[in-house]
Amino acid sequence: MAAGLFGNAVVLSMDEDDNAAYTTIGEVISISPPGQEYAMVDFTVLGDTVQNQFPSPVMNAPEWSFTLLLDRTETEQPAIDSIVGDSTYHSWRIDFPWASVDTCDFEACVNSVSYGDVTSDGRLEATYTLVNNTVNTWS
Amino acid sequence: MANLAEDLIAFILADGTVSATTTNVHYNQTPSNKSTPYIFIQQSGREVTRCLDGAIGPENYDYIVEATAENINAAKDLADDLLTLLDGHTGTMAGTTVAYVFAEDLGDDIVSRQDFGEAEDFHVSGINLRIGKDAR
Repeated sequence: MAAGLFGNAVVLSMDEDDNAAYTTIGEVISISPPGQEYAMVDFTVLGDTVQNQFPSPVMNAPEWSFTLLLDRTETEQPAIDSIVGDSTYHSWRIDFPWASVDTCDFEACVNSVSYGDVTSDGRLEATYTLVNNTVNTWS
Repeated sequence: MANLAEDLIAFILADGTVSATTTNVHYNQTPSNKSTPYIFIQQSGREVTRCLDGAIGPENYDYIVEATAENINAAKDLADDLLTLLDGHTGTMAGTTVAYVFAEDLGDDIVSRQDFGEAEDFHVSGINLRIGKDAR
């Protein structure tokens, strides 16, 4: 019996106008989903022979990104551009192709967009980088 | 709908300069009793951008195109005509719209054929061809 899944059919969507209706983003070619990392607080004192660290309950703000084929005829792409740098956290969602517990929700702001090299035989692409202020919620 | 190789062959044959030299274009296989000069074409690869939703993004197709003749100058002249026709082409290619065609000179070679019991060497001037297809 096979185990594990390919990334094919993973869906990224956003609620850029915060109306609880998610818009699927098309032409996405890769996603680096937000991870979760907690800071380590150093409490090493004089006399210690080994550095002492305590795991903080405060999570670092996860940074994540996705890349899509640059296509200005896709309505979602100008919509994403409109929220780059708007200093607002919006709802984002990644749907995975598992049969259950397949939806990952979080709040994120889009803090940058960058473009891939434009070459004669290379695809046009844009990469958006986001920062979360929530932990991932799976459902 | 014709595939890209069929459209490439149709595009080559529609060119007056090339077709004045030869109308023998063989794809993937050359007949044993072929006449020279001739053009041999074979696909060497396809590179596809796949979106997460399964949609196909821009595609690159790679072909080897060989201009073959009984002497090297005739082979090179035919290869030059093909380069002039194909390199930098964009837009309509028979039934396909292509983003670009890039052709690079591949080098010379000799192919030995033994048809009807008689050995014969043909000169080959090869071209690497890359054709891009996208949403345009």
